[in-house]
Amino acid sequence: MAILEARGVRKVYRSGAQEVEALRSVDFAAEAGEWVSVMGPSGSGKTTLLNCLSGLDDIDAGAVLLGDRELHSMSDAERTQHRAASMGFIFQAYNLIPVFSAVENVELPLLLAGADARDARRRATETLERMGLSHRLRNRPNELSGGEQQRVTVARALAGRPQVVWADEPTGALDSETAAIVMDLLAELNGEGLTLIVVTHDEGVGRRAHRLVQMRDGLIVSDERLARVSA
Amino acid sequence: MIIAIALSLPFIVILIARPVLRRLALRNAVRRPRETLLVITGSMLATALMTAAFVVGDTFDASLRANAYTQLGPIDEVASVPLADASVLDHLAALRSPQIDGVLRATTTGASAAVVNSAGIASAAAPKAQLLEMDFAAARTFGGDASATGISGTTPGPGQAAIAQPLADRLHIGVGSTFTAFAFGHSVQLRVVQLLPQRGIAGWWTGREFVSYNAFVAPGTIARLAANSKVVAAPPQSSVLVSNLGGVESGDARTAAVVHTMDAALAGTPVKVETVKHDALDLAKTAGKSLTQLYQALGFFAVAAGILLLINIFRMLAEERRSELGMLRAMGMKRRSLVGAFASEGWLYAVVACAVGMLAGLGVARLVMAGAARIFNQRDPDFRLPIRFHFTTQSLQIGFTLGLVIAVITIVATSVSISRFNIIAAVRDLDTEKHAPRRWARVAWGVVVLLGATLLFAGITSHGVVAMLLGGGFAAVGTRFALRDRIAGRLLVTVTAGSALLWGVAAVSVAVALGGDLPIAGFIVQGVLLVIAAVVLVTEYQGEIGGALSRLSGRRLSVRLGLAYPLARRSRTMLTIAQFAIVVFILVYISVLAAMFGSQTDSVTAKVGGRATVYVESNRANPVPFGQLKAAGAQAVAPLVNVVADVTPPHATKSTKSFMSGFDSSFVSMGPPVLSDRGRFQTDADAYNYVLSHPDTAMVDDFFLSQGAGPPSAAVSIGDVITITDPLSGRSQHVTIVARSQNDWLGNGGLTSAATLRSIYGPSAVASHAYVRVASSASFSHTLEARYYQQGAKADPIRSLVEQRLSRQTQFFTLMRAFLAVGLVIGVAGIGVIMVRAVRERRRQVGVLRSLGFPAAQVSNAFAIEAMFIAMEGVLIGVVLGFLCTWSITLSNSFGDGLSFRVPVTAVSLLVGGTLLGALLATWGPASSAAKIKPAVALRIAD
Ligand SMILES: Nc1ncnc2c1ncn2[C@@H]1O[C@H](COP(=O)(O)OP(=O)(O)OP(=O)(O)O)[C@@H](O)[C@H]1O
Ligand SMILES: [Mg+2]
Repeated sequence: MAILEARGVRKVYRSGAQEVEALRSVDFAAEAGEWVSVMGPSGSGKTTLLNCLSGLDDIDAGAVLLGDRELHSMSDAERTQHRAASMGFIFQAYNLIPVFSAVENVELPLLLAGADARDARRRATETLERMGLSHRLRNRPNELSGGEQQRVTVARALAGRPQVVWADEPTGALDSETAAIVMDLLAELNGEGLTLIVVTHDEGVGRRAHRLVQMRDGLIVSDERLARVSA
Repeated sequence: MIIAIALSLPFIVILIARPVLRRLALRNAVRRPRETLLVITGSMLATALMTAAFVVGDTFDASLRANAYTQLGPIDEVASVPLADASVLDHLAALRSPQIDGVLRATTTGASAAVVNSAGIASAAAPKAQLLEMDFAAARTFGGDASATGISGTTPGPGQAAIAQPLADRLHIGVGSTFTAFAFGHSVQLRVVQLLPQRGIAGWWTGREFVSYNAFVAPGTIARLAANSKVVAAPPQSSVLVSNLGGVESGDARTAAVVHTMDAALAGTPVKVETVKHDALDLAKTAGKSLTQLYQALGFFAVAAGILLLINIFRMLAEERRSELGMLRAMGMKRRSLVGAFASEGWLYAVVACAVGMLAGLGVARLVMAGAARIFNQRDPDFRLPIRFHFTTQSLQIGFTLGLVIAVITIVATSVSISRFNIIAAVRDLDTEKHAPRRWARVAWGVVVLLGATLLFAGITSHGVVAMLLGGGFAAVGTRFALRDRIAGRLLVTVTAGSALLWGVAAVSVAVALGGDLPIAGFIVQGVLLVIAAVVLVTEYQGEIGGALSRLSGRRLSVRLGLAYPLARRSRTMLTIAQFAIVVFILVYISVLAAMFGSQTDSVTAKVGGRATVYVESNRANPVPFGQLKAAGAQAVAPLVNVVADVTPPHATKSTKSFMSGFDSSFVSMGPPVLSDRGRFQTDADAYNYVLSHPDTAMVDDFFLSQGAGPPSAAVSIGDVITITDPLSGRSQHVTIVARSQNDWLGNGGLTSAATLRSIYGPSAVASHAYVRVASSASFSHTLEARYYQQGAKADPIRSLVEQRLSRQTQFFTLMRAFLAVGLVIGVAGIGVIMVRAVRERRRQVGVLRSLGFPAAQVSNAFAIEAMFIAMEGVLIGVVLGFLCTWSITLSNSFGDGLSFRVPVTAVSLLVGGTLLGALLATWGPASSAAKIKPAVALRIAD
């Protein structure tokens, strides 16, 4: 069953008189528990796709269905609520709230989803421990290494047990070793049933998915099923 | 101006000679016009206030000057004698000198004037009028400019009068009407043949009022009235007026030379030349200056807030560009260039801001003076000074330059301090780490401690509150930094800031107890010390405060987020809190003072009136026969001799004009005004009786001889010897001050025995004033004025005189508060600027939060909570400190005893509510724009 299905999604950026058609009628579907990589040259519309399908951005035409509901017909508040309840995000590095400690960052989505404070703290701590950061709970982001920061971000995306995690170049700012650690973590969680949509430039990262979607000039130009390299 | 240019030169050079730096500076300024506008608005306010303080002084100066011209015109010097001795001046009247372009003889006397109907009832009366005799043809040629004399037409003939406009207005008469003048127990009917303006000689007034109720009469009229005086009255006087060569103002330069020539002509006589014009101009200058100083001193608090805002703005600018600047450094830009680029950008803002501020200052001054004019208009009409708005380009220049100097110093200092970052730390946005103080730093701070201790000691021995406060402050700051790595930070901060706070509150009481007084500088130092100490203390415990608040809110996420930023950026928060605290402090302080003074009617009435209930003034040339008042229902009557004296304070060579009053034993037995310092005497009565029996003693009030605005400057104290001189006869006497009263709201001037004044003034010392005790003061006053209009009687219940005075004082406080409210605008604008920048800085973070499912409404809540938290802390500190200080001052009695501490609930609630509302409104824009941030857009922003 498709957990998410996009039909004819179109996105145009307007800045002054200029118009950039970043997505031109994109169709896309992801099954529950699937891991999809999105690749393509810079400027091809990968980030735009991720933003539009996750509801972070509005679209100009088409529809994004989540089961029987259409994402873009929801109000902003509903979409926000939906994100808090069932989505997680991982961006390139440095996306933590600098005035909050690691554990405070991770418990944020839990609190937003309405969890009890003590419960949230416990689950955030557990998730960070799982990321191998038990000794870094109380540190602020600027006291962590890039890899550590990104692991906190992953923890934050996962702590709320979302159905879908959207990742935009999660390893873009990391060295290959750290990148591998982060990706292993994601693979493990995907093995537990998490749906993963990962935008990446890294061929190695891209090839670990079930499916690899290629984009060019705002269009999906290929969609191939991959043989899993490793689990 | 030269300073401003010299200061700007380096920046202009940088902007011209270094294209890269220029581009950096200009681009940043132009890229975001709205924020540039905010920065400029924020930094212009301090300049506006300083300029306004100067222009207020200018206006007051110009108003007094303008009045000097209407009452003097071409007259520069005057020599006067009693009419009986007129021949003494003959020699002077014939004086010719190239320095002089006018010599004029005149005879004058005080009189009262009234329009009396056939039944003998006055339909209109001018209790304080003046009769003058002079030759109009000669008067017109006096000085270089006939129109400046105000004199036209021919000399009035017998039974005729040429009257000045104010008298015509007061009596509601015009050309052709008749009125009666009263003096020396006689009267004369006069027909108005001409109206003259209050200008120049036509406005010449020998009294101290600002209005000239002049009636020019036929030569000989005054002598006839005085010939068989039916009463004991001050005799008429004969004067010679002299005009220095040159215009109305430029003639002043010749004053010394002319006085010299006149003295030669008067050799062998006791007559003293009065430099009336010079004195009037001098007074205008002093009064203007003192008003400027007062407004500047109080405005200082708002200016300090402005400086803090400027620092904050610049640090935020720098923080925002930190990685950009770090990158530039990494690419090899020298630190000096970096400072240059950054400071040049700041200079650009500063120049524009100071120019705008200067103009805004004119507006502020205009408003202040409009308020002042309203207050002046409630004075006795005779003392109403017409306010003429005026400013000098010099004032504008000084305002601009001061603003620019402050801004540039702030900007350069901030630029230098932020350029000293670690490149890596900047690129990664790390906090710069603190290292242990170097040895020399410790030594330097040790020296500061020593300096502070020395100052403190010196302050205590000399009772100087400024030194005491400064010394304590330095000692605390020095200790804090010298021992930085020896004692746990928190303990050290708590102890040093805590003791500075306590000392700041206590020092004033200690100084007053030791016998010192509270100068306005002490007040400023106290405010600054207290605010710094309190803000440091609160900052130290910010974590606990935030934690408690967040727990109170049930750990709501928006509250946690809202508090997280101010707690993380402590130094920025500290500056903003201080910005609010310092202005709120002074406003609360003034509000409490106003409330305390405003509620003083009963006690002040009892103090200034003693056991009397009505104060009576009358014409010296025709005084009220006070002996008859008992029959008219008065329970007690104490007549006072009232004269104008040249008073020379101890160690001074120049005299100041002041009233002196002489009392007799009836004053003591009636129950005289209460003394505030009775010196070595057991009771007030002892002091009064001593003065009665010792002709070489006197008492004065705390404001005696002080010409400035603001708190008493105590020109004369107990034990001082002052010289009292009769300006007419030149006779003088030394008197020793033996006691003091708090103020002289009834206008007696210094007090001595009537006998003392008679011995100096001879027949001119007449009892023209009186304290009267009656059952019903209002109706008695009314009847008295009606019955004794010929004597120019003016009677007022003492209580209502006090009420008027208090209400003027309260209004003056209100005016000060309005002026300082501009400082609150600084605080509010500051929080607006800071929140706008905060939203900009955190757009990406907001994007992340929104992507995590943080609702838009909560984003704006978090920003609003952040702003309110900061504003509230600042306001609270200010309110608490304001109360603490005023309360401690009432304990020490430094504003006079009987003043009880009062919380002006409405005023303070309005102040607090208004400030917080303002802060909320200022935050509303940025907070709602934060809520509108689109996550997809924000996430694309590079940090
Ligand atoms: N706010 C915007 N305004 C105008 N054009 C935009 C905006 N955001 C993105 N674009 C354009 O839309 C197109 C798609 O951008 P997008 O960020 O989705 O590319 P991408 O595939 O993620 O590239 P990269 O691999 O470099 O991250 C690009 O041509 C980009 O220039
Ligand atoms: Mg991208």
